[in-house]
Amino acid sequence: MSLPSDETRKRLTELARPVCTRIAETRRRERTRRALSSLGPWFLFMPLLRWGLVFLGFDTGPLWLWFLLTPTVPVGLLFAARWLGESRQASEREALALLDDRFGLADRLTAAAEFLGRSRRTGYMEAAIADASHTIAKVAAEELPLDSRPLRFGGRNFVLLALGFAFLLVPTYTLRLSSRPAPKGASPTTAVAEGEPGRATPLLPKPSGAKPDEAPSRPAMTPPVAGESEGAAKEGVPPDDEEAAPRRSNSSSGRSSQTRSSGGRSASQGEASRQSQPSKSGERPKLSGRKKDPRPAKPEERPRSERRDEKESGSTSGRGSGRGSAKSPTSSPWASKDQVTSRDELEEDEDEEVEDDLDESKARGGVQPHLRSRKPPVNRDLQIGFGSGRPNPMANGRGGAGPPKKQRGVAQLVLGVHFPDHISGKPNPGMSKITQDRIEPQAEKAAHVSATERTSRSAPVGTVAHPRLMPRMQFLVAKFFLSRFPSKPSE
Amino acid sequence: MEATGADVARKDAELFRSVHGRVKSEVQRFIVGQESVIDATLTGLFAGGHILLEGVPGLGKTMLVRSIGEAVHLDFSRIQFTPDMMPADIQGTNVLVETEGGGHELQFQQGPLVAHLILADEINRATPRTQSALLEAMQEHQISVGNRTITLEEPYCVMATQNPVEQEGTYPLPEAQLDRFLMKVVVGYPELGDYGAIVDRTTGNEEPEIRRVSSGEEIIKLRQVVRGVPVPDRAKNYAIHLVVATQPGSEFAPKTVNDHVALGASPRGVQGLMLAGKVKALLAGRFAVAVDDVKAVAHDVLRHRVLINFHGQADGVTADDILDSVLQHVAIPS
Repeated sequence: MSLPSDETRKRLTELARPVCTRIAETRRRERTRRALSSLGPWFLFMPLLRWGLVFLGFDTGPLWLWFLLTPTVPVGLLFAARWLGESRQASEREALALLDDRFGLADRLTAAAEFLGRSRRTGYMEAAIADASHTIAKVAAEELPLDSRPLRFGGRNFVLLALGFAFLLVPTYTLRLSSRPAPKGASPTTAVAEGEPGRATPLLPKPSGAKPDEAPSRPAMTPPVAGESEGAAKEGVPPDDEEAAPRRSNSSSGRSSQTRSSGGRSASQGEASRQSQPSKSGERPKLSGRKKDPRPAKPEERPRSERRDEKESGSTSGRGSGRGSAKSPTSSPWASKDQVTSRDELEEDEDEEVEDDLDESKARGGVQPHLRSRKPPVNRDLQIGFGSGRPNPMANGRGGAGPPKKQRGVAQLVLGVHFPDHISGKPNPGMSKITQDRIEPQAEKAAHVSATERTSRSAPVGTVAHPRLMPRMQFLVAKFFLSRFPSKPSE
Repeated sequence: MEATGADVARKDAELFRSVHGRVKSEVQRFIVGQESVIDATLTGLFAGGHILLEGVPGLGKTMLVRSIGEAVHLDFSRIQFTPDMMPADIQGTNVLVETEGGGHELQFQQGPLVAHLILADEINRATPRTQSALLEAMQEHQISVGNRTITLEEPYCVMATQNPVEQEGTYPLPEAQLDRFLMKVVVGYPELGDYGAIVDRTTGNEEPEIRRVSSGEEIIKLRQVVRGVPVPDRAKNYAIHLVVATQPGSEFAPKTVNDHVALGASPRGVQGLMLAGKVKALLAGRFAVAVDDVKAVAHDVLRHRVLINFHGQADGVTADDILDSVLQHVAIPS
């Protein structure tokens, strides 16, 4: 028999209350444990703070106070963390979720608690609440296991606390050394050197490049500026060489920068010459590490500027790619390949273009039609009038190469391989590529061979090549035959 | 004494478990082992979704669907997908027929999609054109041919099979199509102990007969029962977090998802988790969906909705690996 809703709600609240307390306690312990594990470095905080204050020249007060503060501050933090853990109480929902998880109730309690809070409940919700009411008694009888791991201060914390105390002592000792009064008329260096000969080196570092007898005489002449001496010490250069050192460094840096800039300049020169510098042929820088230029010597015969002029003027001179004449079918590269006029162009076609096309065909790797032997693409312009009522002389109703056929379900669709854009009249976008010549099939002349019957060989084969045997094998073979056919003793 | 809402719910849940058990036992007379596959398939049927069965040939995928069709006594239709199949072949088309008076007229002849339980065998062998003809049928439960729209009768369920190994001559299902399947069930090899029973049942003279233990009306009613199961916020939020975690760059996504996933699950994934979770809850004798139910169906519901990117494919990461890490990473909301 299931309990009424109010009773179920009350029992759920009662069930959750001690769990909330336990969750809070567990959280507090967990927070304390985490704080303890990260407490160690805080033991060094106060000693390091004192160090900082001492080196900045502040009065740090009595040492016993710092000894007191060194462990007190971290422990205070620990208590603060514990207090924060206490301040955040677990909700009833969290407690029920924990019970569901611990006892494998498949969210029966949380679902019931949620459905009890709803004003409109369906039959399934009522059934779920009733279902949960049966489990409440079962769960109430069980004891929720609590995290019973002990809290440990940890050896690491002890070590760091001891280290903190040691740190407190170090600046005191060093200060005592540095505050010892120097004898009158002697420089601090000499005082230290006289007082504690063994300690002279760490207190005043000698410049590495300086001679030992030069060092004491230096402060007596001119007291060096702090920045200078520091710079000198850093660079390991004696103060006398200070003028030379920057010069050297400047020159070296200058050299490196020069090298860099010269490199850059050469690169830029190369770039410029590659583009369109109509300079003398002797001044041309060599382009190393680049593919062979397809037009190395031709510009002498025919300057590039001339060709550029031609291009700009709209004349394609049979080379195609005229910008303003794309609409005309005759101006396409298909047509222009046949319109060879000048001798220069003919030569270029035969030499450069073929080379260029061969390279491109290698790069493309695909089979392309031989464009040179193609006729210009026909115009598919089917308009009735050509301008003022005249028929279009170019229109013959047939089209050139169509767009690439749409394919479905091929690998490209899945893998996203790039499909080239289509430009009407060209097999590929951009310049037409010739990758393979079309070869007309030709009949080959060969002697007629009539079929004859093959019989067994009647003549000797002749010398048959055989591999040379190793001496051991030779001996074995000879032994075999000798044993098989023993030689008769000569009579 | 008048029955309360809770009593009705209990009775419905009991009926659900009873029908599910009957259908399952009938199917198990024919299919040896593969209990998880049978459970998942029936979950899809009762949740009102479509199922994609993936497995190598010879594991009884087709047989499983056929036996379910016979057990629940639904109008069953089997379509063997081939590369030359056209949408009209499965949807239906107008054919020219001779009338009594000697004339001719166009008459609509419906395709095999017009049935209750559709077995789309080797669905990835058809072209995307034909595959996409299933989209409307699966989502809206209707077919539009010309100016004619045919509403498909409930319960309507498409159970498709595909072979993951033979990929030549196949067309992978598009994402839109995959997303319409409630679950993708991976059919594995039978257990060692099941082989003997398989041999006995399939190579002898006696062929097991499947009885009709349910009906279409009952399935429709049980689908309503499933939809009536409430979902507490905890399970709902967990399902939402799971789905969001499969989306790269999202708040809950683990590093594996950001590195290896191109496309995560859509809101349909949450719907699927909820519906399948409700079936699980009812089968477990509960009246509300729990987080454990969502976890139990997460692989089947989300596996086909996670698209692995090229890096993931190169590293051999599967959708199941991703889901494992997601399940491990996403915390259960309290």
